[in-house]
Amino acid sequence: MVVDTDQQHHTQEEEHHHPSSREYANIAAILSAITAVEVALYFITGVSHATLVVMLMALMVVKFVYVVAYYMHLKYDHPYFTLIFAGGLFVSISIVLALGALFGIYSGGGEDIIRELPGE
Amino acid sequence: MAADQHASSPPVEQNIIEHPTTTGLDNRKMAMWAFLGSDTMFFGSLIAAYLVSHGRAANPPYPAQLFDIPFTSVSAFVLLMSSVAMVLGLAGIQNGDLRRFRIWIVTTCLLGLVFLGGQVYEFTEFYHEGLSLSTNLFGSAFYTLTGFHGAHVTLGVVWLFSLVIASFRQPLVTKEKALNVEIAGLYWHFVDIVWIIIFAVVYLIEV
Repeated sequence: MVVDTDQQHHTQEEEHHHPSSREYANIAAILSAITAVEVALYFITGVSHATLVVMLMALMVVKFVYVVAYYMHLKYDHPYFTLIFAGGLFVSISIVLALGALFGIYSGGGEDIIRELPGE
Repeated sequence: MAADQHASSPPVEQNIIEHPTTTGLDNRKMAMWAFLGSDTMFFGSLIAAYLVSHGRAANPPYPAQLFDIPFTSVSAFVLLMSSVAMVLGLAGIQNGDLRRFRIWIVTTCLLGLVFLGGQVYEFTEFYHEGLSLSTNLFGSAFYTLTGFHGAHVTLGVVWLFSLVIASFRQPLVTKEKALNVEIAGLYWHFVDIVWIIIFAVVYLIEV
């Protein structure tokens, strides 16, 4: 006997609404364009390093969100999936920020904490 | 008697009972998202280790001497396109089009193999330039981070190939069981988003 609750019906309806092949292709075109811009930014001279970092990070986040939302269907799936993934992502970003602050990668310091000696 | 019993019992497929869950969501899909959340932490730690060690290598070669951005850009594009092939393959099986599923998933696998080939070439080049796992901090952090990503891609290729083979041999890959493909697809897209981050943070930004 297969038990089907209203909640499961609702969930399945949500999960089956996915983008069409045309939409997938459009998103692929957007992702390719963003990648091209990223590479172009790398080769453009005259842009300060700080500006470059901010722009590349912003483009990276846009690509990340597009893939997760449309290709991994988080936009159409149950919010629980987003919650579970966002939890791991939050911890992950916290690790990067905390270790970055600890070892001074934002200020260029931290040489007294970690330094490789020549010939090591 | 035994023959009667066999005739009256439903096929194995019909005996499988899918129990409802408290959330109404499939446990396997929930487990995959939980795994991806934990794997995000794993790669976050490796990226943090790379950033911490970056610029502190006492001995050459350094990243700026080695990185071939045009080459890596092509690799990044190839992996990005493999994600498109993956969703088209999933759409194929969800529509019951087994042929379309096979074509796109095999395409995904081939693009994954092209990416892996590029990584092997890059590692070989770097090694000949004098960068090994123990040369300096950069070598240790770089090979560990990108090596683990490559291992994930390899596992993904094997997984997807096995689904294609299974689609010929047993009713594991059908329209009704499209979730098996969707879960593999989630893993594959995750591998792609990790490379989106590595490409920007490790190769382009060079903090």
